[in-house]
Parts: sequence; structure tokens; C-alpha cells
Amino acid sequence: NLYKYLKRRRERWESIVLIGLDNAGKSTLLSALSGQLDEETTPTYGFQSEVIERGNIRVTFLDLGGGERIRGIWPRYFAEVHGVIFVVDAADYGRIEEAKKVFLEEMKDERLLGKPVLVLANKQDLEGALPAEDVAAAFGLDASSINSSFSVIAGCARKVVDGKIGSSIQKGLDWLYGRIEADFRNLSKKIEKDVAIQKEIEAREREEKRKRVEAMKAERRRKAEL
Amino acid sequence: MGLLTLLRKLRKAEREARILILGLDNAGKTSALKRLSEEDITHIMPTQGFNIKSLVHEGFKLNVWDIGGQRTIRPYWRNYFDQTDALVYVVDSADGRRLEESSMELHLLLEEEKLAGVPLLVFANKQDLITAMHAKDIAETLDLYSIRDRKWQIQACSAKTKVGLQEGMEWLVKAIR
Ligand SMILES: Nc1nc2c(ncn2[C@@H]2O[C@H](COP(=O)(O)OP(=O)(O)OP(=O)(O)O)[C@@H](O)[C@H]2O)c(=O)[nH]1
Ligand SMILES: Nc1nc2c(ncn2[C@@H]2O[C@H](COP(=O)(O)OP(=O)(O)OP(=O)(O)O)[C@@H](O)[C@H]2O)c(=O)[nH]1
Ligand SMILES: [Mg+2]
Ligand SMILES: [Mg+2]
Repeated sequence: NLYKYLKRRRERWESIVLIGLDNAGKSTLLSALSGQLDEETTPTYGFQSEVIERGNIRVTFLDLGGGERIRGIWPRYFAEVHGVIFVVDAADYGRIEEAKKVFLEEMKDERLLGKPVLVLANKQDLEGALPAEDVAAAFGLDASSINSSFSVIAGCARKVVDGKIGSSIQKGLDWLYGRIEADFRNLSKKIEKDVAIQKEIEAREREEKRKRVEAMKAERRRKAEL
Repeated sequence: MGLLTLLRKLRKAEREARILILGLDNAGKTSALKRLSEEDITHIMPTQGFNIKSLVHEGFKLNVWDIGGQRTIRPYWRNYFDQTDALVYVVDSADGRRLEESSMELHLLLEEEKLAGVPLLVFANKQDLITAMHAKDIAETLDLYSIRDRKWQIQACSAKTKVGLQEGMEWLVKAIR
């Protein structure tokens, strides 16, 4: 019907990827965002997503595994996203260096250039959790380098009040949504371009793969005939 | 809500689910299933048709269908797609040569309408062999990153040593709950 059609026409899609070391709290955050807090997540070695509606905007959150053995897949998702949330276990001092290293490495990716990145210093309910300023400093994001592209907030993913995410994380999300809104046209253009490039590469890879499989099958048939 | 959806919900309330295990021949599907039900795996033959087993996990009854993976049998896979709650796809991590073939079969499955949105667990089996590839490399070769329409998880495992099987099933049960 016409109403639905008009509504859909005004609909807009955005996507945000959640990355960060294993055990940081990404899947917990995803569950909290979807309104069904999961207090017993299992480590992710893959992918899951949730769509959250904000008026006419549908935001897809992509949650990826952070373990050392699976991190390598992250860049495969960078082309299509409007923004990033990098989750840090702020109470795990022993891994702050590792988190920083991984963070800086990912931020070099050309497909993330200019996209807004929210760093969440998570697990603030734990004693001694580093505050946002300390995580920012540890990541080398001092006050002068925190520009329109980065923001660091402290929060607690495993705390939901009345089915809603805590107010500090909400503030961070609002910042992220705001940045995406403000730069939507440029982001869309970049995404369109990068996704097209990636699709082309992946199509070529698939075609080469198909040929190799065909060749292997032919070889097997030939052997069977001998 | 359509009748089918409603029926599905009811079945879920009864805590029963239908799981489909697929993958190329020799991947270790039957071995994995037998291991999960604590059976002996020393005399396993290639599956000509299918095996069904009921596993109880955390109060969930999983009706698991293990279908033969030989090329001549693959066309019949589609006869088992109805009402599937989760798909388990098994690969032989030590058989790099056939991983690409496995990848193509997997992506054909993912295009099936009846399996749309069904969570996918990939068992990277035979990790006990020293030539086994790491889960991440297998995820790359299988193009798992191109999947956006369902949740997926890759679990390194060995039907021989039993490592990883339980973890995989735990993910699965959560995914369908
Ligand atoms: N105390 C506390 N624990 C949290 C918080 N957020 C997450 N956790 C716990 O941290 C552990 C890891 O959380 P996950 O959400 O699974 O972590 P992840 O980042 O998804 O990890 P991977 O999937 O391995 O990449 C779980 O036991 C969570 O319950 C928090 O804000 N406070
Ligand atoms: N080393 C090792 N061998 C395994 C493992 N799992 C299965 N195998 C062996 O691999 C062969 C094939 O196992 P099956 O369980 O019959 O494989 P399948 O996927 O059911 O094969 P089809 O029924 O033909 O589709 C057998 O010789 C098993 O002993 C494993 O984890 N490690
Ligand atoms: Mg996770
Ligand atoms: Mg079998």
C-alpha cells in the first residue's frame, strides 16, 4: 500500500561493526542493544547481527569474533559499514597494550578512513576499571587527536535498566549516530565505491575458485576412467 | 503470524529442534554425530542414505539428521531441508584440496530458500591431524565472511579426540533458542 511504500522510501539503512579483543564484551553489548541482555555469552568465532530501528533508520550492528584466530576476518566487513565500535575490557590491564596494537592496526585500513569510531571502555562495574581518559591515553588518542572521528566513553555493557542500555553507552551511541548523520552523503559515496571494489575482487576470487574446482573434478573423472 | 511460524514457535516451546548435518563425503559427519552420542566410531562406513539420532542437550531435544555426502547422494540433500532449525556443516580440515569444492556446495545450500536465515555451525573437523588448517583460514576459504543473512560460527574440532564438539553444540543450542 501507498503508506508502506512511502515509509519504505524514507527508510534508511546504516551499519555499524563491533570489534575488539576476545572477551571485551561485544556480544554482550549486542544483546543489550537488542533489548535481551545475554549474561552468559559464549566466545564468538564468527558473525551475528541485530537490526535496531531508530525512527526511519534501520541500524544493523555486526558482531564479530575477537579471538586471535578469527580477527583476520574483520576487514572483510569494513567496506560496508558507516561506523565502528571498538570495545575494550577496561579492567583487564594486562591486555591494554594488545588492544592498542590491534586498534591501531585496524585503524590503518583505508576502508575505515574518515568513518566515526567509538571506543567503549567497557566493564566499568569492575573495580579499578580504567576511565575513558586513561584508555584514550593508552591508545594514543590524547585530547588533541580526539577529533570528529574518534570518541572514547566509559560504560558497562552488562547493565540494562528497564530494558535499555546504560546512559553513558547511549551517549556514545548518540555521538556515533550524530557523526554518521552529519556525514551521511560522503559516507554513502565511500561505501558505494569500496563495496563495488570489494564485490569485484570477491567475484573474481569466486570465479577462479570455480575453475579450480571444475579442473579438479575433471581430473578425478579422468583418473576414474583410467 | 503465519501458521508455519506459529508451529515452529510451538515446537520451540517444546524444546525440540531439528538439526541437519551436511558436508562432503569423508568429512566426518557420521563420526561426529556418533561421538556426540557416546558411540563407538571404529567401524564407520560411508553413509549411503542417512542416520537420525536424538541428542539431549541442556534439556533440549535435538533431532539430528546426518546425510551422506558422496557426490551421487548430494542431489538428495534438498529432500531434508524442511523445518530445519540449524545447519551443521562439516569439513575435513586436513583436506585442503577439497575445501574449495566444499565451499561451493556450502554456498549452494545457503541460497536455498528453505534454509534461509537458518543458523550455521561449521565444524572444522580432524584437527588432530598435523596437516589440519586453522579455523580462520578455513573460514576464508569457505567465504564465510560473505554471509550476512544468518549467524554463523566456526568451531575447530576432532571427532576422533572429541575436542570442540561440545562447544559447537553449545553455540548451536543458544543459536536456536
Ligand atoms: N563485569 C562485566 N562483565 C562484562 C561486561 N560486558 C561483558 N562482560 C563479560 O565479559 C565476558 C565476555 O563477553 P562477550 O560479550 O562474550 O565478549 P566478546 O567481546 O563478544 O568476545 P569474543 O566473542 O570472544 O570476541 C562475558 O563473561 C560477559 O558477561 C561488563 O560490562 N561488565
Ligand atoms: N583423524 C581423524 N579422522 C577422522 C575424524 N573424523 C572422521 N575421521 C575419519 O574420516 C573418515 C570418514 O568419516 P565419516 O564419519 O564416515 O565421514 P562422513 O562425513 O560421514 O562421510 P559420508 O558418510 O561418506 O558423507 C573415517 O575414516 C573416519 O575415521 C577426525 O576427527 N580425525
Ligand atoms: Mg562475542
Ligand atoms: Mg556418513
